[in-house]
Parts: sequence; C-alpha cells; structure tokens
Amino acid sequence: MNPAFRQGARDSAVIALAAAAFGVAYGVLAVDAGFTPALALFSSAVIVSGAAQFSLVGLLPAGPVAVLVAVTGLGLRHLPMSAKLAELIGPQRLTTRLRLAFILVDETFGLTVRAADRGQHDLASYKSGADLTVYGCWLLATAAGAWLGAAIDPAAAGVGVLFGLLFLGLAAPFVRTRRDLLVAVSAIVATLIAMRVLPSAWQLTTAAVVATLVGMVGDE
Amino acid sequence: MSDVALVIAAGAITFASRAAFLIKPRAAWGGRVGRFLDIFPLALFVAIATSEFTSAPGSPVAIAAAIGGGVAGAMLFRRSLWGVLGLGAVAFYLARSLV
Repeated sequence: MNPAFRQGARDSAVIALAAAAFGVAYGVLAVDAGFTPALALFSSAVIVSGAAQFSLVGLLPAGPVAVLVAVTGLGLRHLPMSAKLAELIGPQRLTTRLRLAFILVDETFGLTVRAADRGQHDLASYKSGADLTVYGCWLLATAAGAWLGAAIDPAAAGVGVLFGLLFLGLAAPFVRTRRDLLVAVSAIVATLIAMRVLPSAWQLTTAAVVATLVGMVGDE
Repeated sequence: MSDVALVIAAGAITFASRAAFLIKPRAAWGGRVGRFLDIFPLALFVAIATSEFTSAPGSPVAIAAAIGGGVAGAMLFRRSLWGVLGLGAVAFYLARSLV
C-alpha cells in the first residue's frame, strides 16, 4: 500500500471517530424527519456533507427551494477549498481529481493542508487514504443511527465540542505570525457576528472570507 | 419534488461546488488569489471551531474548559492535533463532571 495513503488513513482515524458520532446523529435525525433508513444512508453516500445533510432534513418542511438555497450557500466554501486543493495536488488524472472532489470535506481538507505544511508530497494519495477512512465511517455511522435510532445520543456525549477541538487543532499549526493571529481573531469575531445576523448556511463562508480579506489587508 | 430527487439535487450542487476548480489541473495560483488561498484555510478552521463551540449544547464552563485545554494542548505539544484534542477533551469532560 502507498505510504502516503496509509499515513492519510492513519491521521484521519481520530477525525473518522468524530465524524462517526455526527453520522449517527444524522441517521437518527433523518429518520425522525421522515426519511426511510435506506434513504438516510443513500443521502450520506451521495451528498457526503454533514452540514448540507443536517440542513436538508432540518428544512424539509420548508420545501425544496429552501433546502437547495441552503445547500448552495453551504457549498460556497467549497470553491476556495477546491482551488486550494487543485494547487496542492498538482497535475493528476481527471478521475483522481473528481474522486478527491467528491469527498472534499472540511476535515480531510484540513488534514491535507496540514500534511502539505509538514512536507508530504503525495497529497493525492494522502487525501485518498483520509477520505476513504472518513467516508466509510460516515456511512457506517449513518446506517447505525438510521436503523438503531434514538438508542444513541451523540450530542449528549459532547460531540460538538470535540469537533470544535478538532478544528482548533487543525488551525493551530497555521498560527505563526502576527498576520495569522489577526486572521484567527478576525475569524472568531466575524463568525460570532455572522451567527447573529446571517442564515446558518451562509455564516461560515462569509466569516472565513471576511477574515481572509482582513489578513490580506494586514499583509499590505 | 420527491425526497430522493431532492437528495440527488443536493448531492449534485455539493459536488459541483467541490469540483469547480478541480475539473482542470492547476499547478499554482499567483497574485492575490494565491494569497487569498494561503490564508483561507486558517480562517475557515477558526470559523468552524468558533461555530462548533458556540452552538454546542452543555455547560458554558465545560466548553470554556475545553477551549482552554485545547489552547494549552497546542502550546504544550507544539500544535499537535492529538495534543489539542487530548487536553481539550480531558478538560471538557473533567469540568462537565464537576459542574
């Protein structure tokens, strides 16, 4: 097995556990919202986005337009992620690029950016290993939540806080200069403001873009 | 629109946004776009962490302890992911059991 692939799979183990907890919660919620367990699992297989899927089932009563507007808003942050990943992986076959795009989730994107920062060269294989681990856990966990139902309560176990810590851990290596600190503080402030004034689907992308622009101005 | 069609449409939108810049191979972005993309991951990770901590259910004291533990973990273990997660989780569950 490719060492970079193995490294990606190993590094993503902790993320896969956290993602699994969210997957269980999603399975429970999707069935509560009226999906069959099979459709809950199918949605996890096709969308592969916790945020989009939670919005989907949460907004089902509001109709398809509301759902698709929310999913589009959530998808906007994938644009810069996609551009950054294209730069990181360099020239690859179209099938490889599309496969990596299919599971372009915050968690494995974060690991990949971190791996690049640490000198990993074969980032396509690295991300493939991380993607496969996280995707497998996401599907298994959704199935467990959908079929076993409310017997499991991941929210009560503090999964949200663990996810917060996970992204704190992914951000930490990138805070090296005053400019980075400015970006981090701006992102905190912008997120807190966005959470008060914007619909949930638009909060993260807006806050991240604003903080990035503040960092660019700080550079100049 | 059936639920299955809605799921497929949501999947298509999500995939399109993810594949947007991966359809064509690209070596490196230059200029302002390159600088934007260098900074964006940090801003995104901090925004996600902030959102998760703010919206997590539970005692604010335990969440504050988790953040404190995470920051301490980052400083003590040279910004290692495991260090942040480990110390943050220990501080969170300890504070939750005490409060």
